[in-house]
Amino acid sequence: MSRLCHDSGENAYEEVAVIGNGAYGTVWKARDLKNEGQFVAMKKIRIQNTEEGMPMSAIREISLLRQLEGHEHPNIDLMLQLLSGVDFLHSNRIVHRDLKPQNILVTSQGRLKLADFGLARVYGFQMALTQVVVTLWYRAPEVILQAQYATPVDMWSCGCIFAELYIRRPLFCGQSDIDQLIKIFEMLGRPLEVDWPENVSLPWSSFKAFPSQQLTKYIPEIEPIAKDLLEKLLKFNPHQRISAKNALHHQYFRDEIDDIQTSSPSSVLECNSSDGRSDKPVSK
Amino acid sequence: MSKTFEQDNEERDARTSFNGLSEFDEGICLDNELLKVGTPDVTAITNTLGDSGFTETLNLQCLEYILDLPEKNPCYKPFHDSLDPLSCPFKSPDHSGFEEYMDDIYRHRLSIEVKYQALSCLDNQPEVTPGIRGVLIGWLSNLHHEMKLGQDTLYLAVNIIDRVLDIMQVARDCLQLLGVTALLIACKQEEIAPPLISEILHKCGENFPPEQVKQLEKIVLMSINFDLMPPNSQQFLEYFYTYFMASSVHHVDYKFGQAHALARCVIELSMQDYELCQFRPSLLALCIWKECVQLMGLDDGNFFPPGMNFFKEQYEYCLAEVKVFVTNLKRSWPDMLSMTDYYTSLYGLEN
Repeated sequence: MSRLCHDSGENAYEEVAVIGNGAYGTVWKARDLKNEGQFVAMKKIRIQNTEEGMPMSAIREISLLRQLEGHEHPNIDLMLQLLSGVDFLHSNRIVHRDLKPQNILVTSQGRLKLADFGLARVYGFQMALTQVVVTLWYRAPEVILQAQYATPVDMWSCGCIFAELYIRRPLFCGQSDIDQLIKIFEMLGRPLEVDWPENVSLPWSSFKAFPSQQLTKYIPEIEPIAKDLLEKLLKFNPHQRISAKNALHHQYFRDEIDDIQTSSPSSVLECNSSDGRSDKPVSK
Repeated sequence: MSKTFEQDNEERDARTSFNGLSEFDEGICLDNELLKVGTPDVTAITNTLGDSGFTETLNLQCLEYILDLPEKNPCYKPFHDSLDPLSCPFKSPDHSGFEEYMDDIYRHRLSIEVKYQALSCLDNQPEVTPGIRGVLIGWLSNLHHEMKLGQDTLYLAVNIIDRVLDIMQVARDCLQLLGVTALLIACKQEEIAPPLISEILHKCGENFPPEQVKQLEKIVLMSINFDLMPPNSQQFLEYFYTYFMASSVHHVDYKFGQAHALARCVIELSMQDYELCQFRPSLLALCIWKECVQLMGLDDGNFFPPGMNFFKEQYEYCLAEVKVFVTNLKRSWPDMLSMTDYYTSLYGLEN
């Protein structure tokens, strides 16, 4: 994860070029002068001294990065890296909430890094979370419907990104909340009424009974095993949606995992090969 | 409680000289003149605490708000309604949506808890004693309940205070400002809708200039390196309880729910006790659970949560300290069990 620098940064990093501007700051291509001048992505946050002191988003983003500092994840392929990154966040009680290609940085060595924790949230005792999260196209249906949400929202975003790796453009490009839902249902079919979340303002019946389509119609290149994973990531019902941990065990990664296991040890594999725990204290 | 923090003009002049004790360039007392406006009179508090009366004063501080709760809060439910034998909470509110990751989160917290502990944080404080710290935490707890903030917010605020006390000297009359600032930071980290600075200041009835809070906020954040995710003892308790309930089929006694609520209450109060704060949060949570189970006349079948590592002596020592603490609690407040009403439905998720 990103290295954090607030010791005035002047001589630790040298700015090379602006990569992009966001609501809270600017991302620079920079040289890390303390590490042989290697290139890094550096986010400079503007911390205005507001009426309320330090902005909440800045405090949360920095504290999250602090917590994750020192954890590097090895790479296998982008999707596996993405999922293990998300798995890592979830096991740290963090929901990223804004996963999208723009927030996924890939280094010259093909190493994936998750960025922009401006919306990320540590789960506490309160479950009601703010409604406005995630760029529309990667937003899970339960968020659009303003129902309760949790870690599965990140998995939905992963599904959208997974499909995008094949088709090289976003999967669902809705123009509005409703349009986004319609685009989703056109492809996946209208969900079952029993899966429709309770207490949401949009009734199930307000949507046409779209039949579900074969994903291969939209993503011709996808192989059957990848299609299976994608379907599990894009489950309408968040409770049925696959978790990052289980996704990492999906057959889609099996071959790659076998390859890796024979070539080099990898911490991702170690931390995810601990299935079959019998002492799980959870009743569902 | 707020009246104990009221000003005492006679003492003020003597105390201004305590400002600027910090070895840091930016000491925690920012402006002697401004600080005169609304500083708590901790000297007066120490007087009211007396020698042996300390624990009693301490308990009543924290419970004051909650004891009044039925009148203040019409939604308040009595204990018997909220927890019947059939609805014993098997799910942990702390992990909703994270069930699969519960073990990982727990182990992760176990592995980092020591890092965030400010052990013996008062060793280098010339003015802040364990008793004064306790008063501050008690006052903060009341403020926190009054503002209906989340439990994690309170635990984080206390952790921030201790870590700041550990690294910089703080004058007595700056303590309340530190408390307010720590609460503000904790709110920004944990709350869905953090209160405004003016709201916090209004609630606590103090008139520090907001500029002071903002300036101290910066100093605090930098001094603790923005590390705002310490595990707390209550989180461990929630895991233990969930684990215990899920792993023991034969314990269906609803009284375990009550023991759990009692433990939540004791664990919150334990933050005011400097000695108990020297134990690791996980160990403290376990010992408080054990003590509350015993207090309810229950037997948890030698329940022992996984992953914990400590010497038998440490456990026994901690348990003994907890026993003393709980005995004092009971003495000053015999009706302690009625407290569990509030703590049963603490998170609004279990009924």
